[in-house]
Amino acid sequence: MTASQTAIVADPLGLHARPAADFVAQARTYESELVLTSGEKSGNCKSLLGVLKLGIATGSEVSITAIGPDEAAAVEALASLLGREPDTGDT
Amino acid sequence: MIVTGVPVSGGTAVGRLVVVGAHVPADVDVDDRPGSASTVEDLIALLVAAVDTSRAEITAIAAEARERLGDESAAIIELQLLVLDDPEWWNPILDQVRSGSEPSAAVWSVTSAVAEVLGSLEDPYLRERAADVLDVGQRVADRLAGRSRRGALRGLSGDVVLAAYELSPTDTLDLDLDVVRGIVTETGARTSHAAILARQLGIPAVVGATGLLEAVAAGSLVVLDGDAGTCEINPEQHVVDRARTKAAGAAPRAVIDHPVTTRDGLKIRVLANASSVADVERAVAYGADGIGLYRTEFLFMGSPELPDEDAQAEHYAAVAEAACGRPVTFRTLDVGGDKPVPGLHVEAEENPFLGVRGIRLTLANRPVFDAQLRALARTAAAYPGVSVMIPMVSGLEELDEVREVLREVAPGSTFRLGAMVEVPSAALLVDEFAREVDFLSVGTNDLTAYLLAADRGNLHLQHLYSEFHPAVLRALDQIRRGAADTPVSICGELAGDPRASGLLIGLGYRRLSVSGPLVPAVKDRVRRLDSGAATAATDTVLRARRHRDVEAALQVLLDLQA
Repeated sequence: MTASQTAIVADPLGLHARPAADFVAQARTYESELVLTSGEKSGNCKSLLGVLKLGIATGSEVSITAIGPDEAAAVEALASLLGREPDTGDT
Repeated sequence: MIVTGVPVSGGTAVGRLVVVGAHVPADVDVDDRPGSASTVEDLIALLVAAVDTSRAEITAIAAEARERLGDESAAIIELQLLVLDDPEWWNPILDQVRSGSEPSAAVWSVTSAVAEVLGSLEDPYLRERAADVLDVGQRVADRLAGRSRRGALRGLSGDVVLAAYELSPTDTLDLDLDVVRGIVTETGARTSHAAILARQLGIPAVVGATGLLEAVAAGSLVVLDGDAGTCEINPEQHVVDRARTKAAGAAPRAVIDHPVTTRDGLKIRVLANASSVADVERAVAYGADGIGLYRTEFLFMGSPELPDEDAQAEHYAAVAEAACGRPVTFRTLDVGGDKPVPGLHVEAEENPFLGVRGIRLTLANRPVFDAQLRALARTAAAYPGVSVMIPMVSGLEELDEVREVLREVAPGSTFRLGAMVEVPSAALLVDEFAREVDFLSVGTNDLTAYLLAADRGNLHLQHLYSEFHPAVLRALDQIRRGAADTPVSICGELAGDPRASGLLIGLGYRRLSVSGPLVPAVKDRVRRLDSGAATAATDTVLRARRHRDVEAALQVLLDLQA
């Protein structure tokens, strides 16, 4: 089983050090393996360096994929931490 | 000639140029080291020890940054802790050591590779994070080599403008502000953490001054303009004179080396908060009337294992000695799940701020508490000005228990015993506490957080967390009244806030404990103040129902001390 969810990064500065640190700290509270994907690059959600090196700007669409016992809760929490859900067309 | 760069921290500095080294790979000859390790396991053990020591050091630096400059600066340093725990940094280092690399070479090769990846990112802000990673790698490599960089930038004298290829965030925090007047570096940007810290420290700084180190000779006289982003080398005399006048205009206030009184003759003690012997020395130099809060936890966090009674007694004696006869109030170990202490196991908790911390933790770890109380009793026997205060007290039972422990482990101890008022229950019971202790001290940071149920580090709650919230101000008023004749001091950040001096004196507080460098400014404000007028204006502030009404009423108080 895996769980996956996409999100649009809402922080106006993108995934910078402070929000990235918060993101990583939150990710480390889950047991599941967690991968953050932006475009063609992927990184370990539990690694600050893994997240920073993706160079994620504000408004980027990213996806979080989890494998593990708490995968559903993890992707849900991390996606909502990053920001809003992608626009589905309605306002 | 003039070298131009990016202005990142305003102000003018005149000084002799001192060039400091850039990051260099740690050059360690394994065979030269006494007792050199041979097996891979031994090497890994050395590496783990170096990382552990680095973690303790960075934790202590972050805590110090929080005290001096606030949460934003502390977060900059705490970022480095995440690097130490990062699998993408640690795992390749382990792999390299396992396949035969010398540990410091492995640390340096992985750190450089990671920094290179970050440095090549498009986002200019993220690129600057490479410097943070290099700062961590350098520290661990130094530790492996048995070197300490702490203090490497000390030992300078006269007015100095520091030139470097690059200056790390932790080096910036370590600068001797009595000597270093300005900073100029070849690399860096406005968003470098070193630049942000320079701004917060108020040191004029120019970064990105390409070609600087080739163009200058150490010892040259330079004029640094942190507003224009220029560094003029060997300028003409009139340029130097003008810059000196400009720099002097921003010079700190004169030190007042004795207790001050308000205009109407009310004596106010301006004390300093400190975490190290060096802090105490600095506080004395800034004219502090004593140490109102000595945080003993840094002694614990800075060493790889728990300091025993003798080590503590020696440290506390050095603190009392450095205070030169002024009173010193030691706070017993104040840590919790969020502040790890090597050698002391604290279970991870859902909510460390409402968990086992302060007195709760020490009462649950009696050998640690006993040794500390014994060491403090020995110090008090030799230095009469020593007091001891207990953090995170929430009920009288905890004080009863502390007294019982004292009777058992240090009968005949002579120090005065006090309690911190930072948990709301202690604020509500303050009259009861006042009857049972020799003094009280209000920790406004934690009291505010607990009263408002808002973590001041949470960016989403910035509008809620305020030490000027009407509820906090009314609590401070009730605490002062409830304490009656028991001396009560303020030792949180509020005490050093320029907007609060008149307010706290108006509320009836007579002892303010602030960060050492703020002592001259607080004393200066006290001397300008009329306590009667402050009391009248404070009554208006206390009637404020909303936060914004407080702001308006505070202005009256500010004008009083202008």
